[in-house]
Amino acid sequence: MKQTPKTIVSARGDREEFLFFQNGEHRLFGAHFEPRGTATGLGVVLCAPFAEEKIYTHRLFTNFARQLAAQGHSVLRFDFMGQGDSSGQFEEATVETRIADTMCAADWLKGRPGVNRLLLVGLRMGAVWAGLVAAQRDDVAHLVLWDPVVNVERQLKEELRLALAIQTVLFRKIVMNRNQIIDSLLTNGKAEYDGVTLNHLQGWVISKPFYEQAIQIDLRKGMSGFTGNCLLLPIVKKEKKPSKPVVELRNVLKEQGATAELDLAIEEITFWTINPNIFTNHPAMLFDKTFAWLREVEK
Amino acid sequence: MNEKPVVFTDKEGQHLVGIVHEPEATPRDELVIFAFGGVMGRVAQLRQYVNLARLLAREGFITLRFDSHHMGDSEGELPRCNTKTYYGTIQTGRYVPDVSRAIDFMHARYGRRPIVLIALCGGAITVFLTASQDPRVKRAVMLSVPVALDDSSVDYTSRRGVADYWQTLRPYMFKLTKREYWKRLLSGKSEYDRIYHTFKGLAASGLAQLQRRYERDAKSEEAQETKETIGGATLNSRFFSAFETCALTKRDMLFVFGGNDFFYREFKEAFEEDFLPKHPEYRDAFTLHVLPQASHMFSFPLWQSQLQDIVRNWLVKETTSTGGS
Repeated sequence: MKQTPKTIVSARGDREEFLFFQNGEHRLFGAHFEPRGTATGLGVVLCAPFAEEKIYTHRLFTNFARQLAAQGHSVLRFDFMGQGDSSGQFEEATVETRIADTMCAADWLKGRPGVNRLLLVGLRMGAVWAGLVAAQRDDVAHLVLWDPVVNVERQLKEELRLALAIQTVLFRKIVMNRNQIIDSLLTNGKAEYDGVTLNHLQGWVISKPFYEQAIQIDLRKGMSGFTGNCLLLPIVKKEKKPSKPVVELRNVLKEQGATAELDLAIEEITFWTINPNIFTNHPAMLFDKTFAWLREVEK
Repeated sequence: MNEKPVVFTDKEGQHLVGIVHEPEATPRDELVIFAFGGVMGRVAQLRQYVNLARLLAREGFITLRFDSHHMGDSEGELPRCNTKTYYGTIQTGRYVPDVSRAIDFMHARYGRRPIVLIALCGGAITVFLTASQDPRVKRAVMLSVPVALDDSSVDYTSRRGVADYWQTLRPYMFKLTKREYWKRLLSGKSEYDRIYHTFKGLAASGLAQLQRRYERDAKSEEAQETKETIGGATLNSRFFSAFETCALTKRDMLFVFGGNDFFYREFKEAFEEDFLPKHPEYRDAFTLHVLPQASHMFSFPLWQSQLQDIVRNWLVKETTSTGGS
């Protein structure tokens, strides 16, 4: 069903529109931030992280989008199928659907008048989808990976382990450990004990197709073909060396002809979880370094 | 079901962004609004507002979820602040004007119909305060509502009970008999931070509980009649006055808690065991559901579906019994 987008015009004259766009049988929610002043021609697609992290970082992306639009870029923040305001359920979404959603969002933005090249920005798992899609398109000039999850299997296993503690509330013990949950998910399509679903990450149910597809992903192998400009920005609380997988990813990108810059964003909190003492959606160093890099590559 | 983005303004003229869910069939008379819950916006933790709004739309309710000013997609700026101080401002009514504007918007769009407010945690106290001030609100659904006030000095460690920490520790205690655990502990692969903080929390909450017991014993009966704090946090007097107003004006109130939520323990201690015995006339003024094992945010698929059933059944039953379509 086609709908007219709802538009905000701020006191400064900035225009933002809120709409649903179709990707196959699903409707994806999007917030489009129109460029202020003279448009640069750059369209920026923002890829949110996964599950609960997406909810906590919504405002961060809105703030970033507004700053990008103020510099003349056209920006789209969107919700993947099964997340945010989009249709579908989280457990229906797979790696394939997330890549298709990102492709669809990129196509939508590319179809806007005046947009002639793209920048994809992704945070954590959102960086994975952004990286995989950038490698499949020839219109992605720039790519920004904020704290990218390089080895997805390792990340999922870690999150599955963290979700085990809740079993003790229900059953007074761990009734299925991480490996048993994975085995059951892969064999039976679900992991259940006494009728209770255990294949979830802190309440977000993951499906067999998603898990099977996700564990195949390693950005060091999945981004072959990308030759644009890439900024890798791990987010840390204090100065330290970047992790080995991120360094390896940078090296792989360089070897295949991309311009890859690796830096650190030192921030007081990790924005994808609740900090009981500090609340902010303005990660100064993350934004500043990204804008500085973008100005350089857009020269 | 039809879902549409909508925009309206707050009292300062800033744009607030939301989604309305309209049922396919003839809608029921009441309009449902989900109040903003704090840091999680119109989607809420585990997407619970989206799932519940869709469920209620299938039951014939027109619903609205929206972001308050300076959150989600809405306008406004919130500077860096202390999280607990920010929560405290929500608990004293920071977002009540935004909910009132949402009611104005829904009435302008769908006509003057009775309003149902629903929310979780910080949103739940917003719902309660709005319901007590705005006669257009007919029913209020409060999920995991806080009875105490947060501020930067509040220590969650002492408010969480020993049982909470024991829950976290139990799997570790279970593992102590296993050789693999000791090997892992000595290999440097264990989560030392988590283990340390859990033990620290257990010790601190144990001490806090002892201190509370000592203070209770030391106080005269007269002093106990004027309960003002709980677990080191100040009780929110607005909660109790909102309850009395809602009870006196015959609003329907539904409270739902997870049995493992320390907010429930505080509600039980301050409201059920302290306030209600002094006001027996209000005993039937509300409905209370406790999901025995559930957590504060009902963060388990089973608890989420149980919660949805409770809210839907209460709303549908109440609507039917009071003549809704």
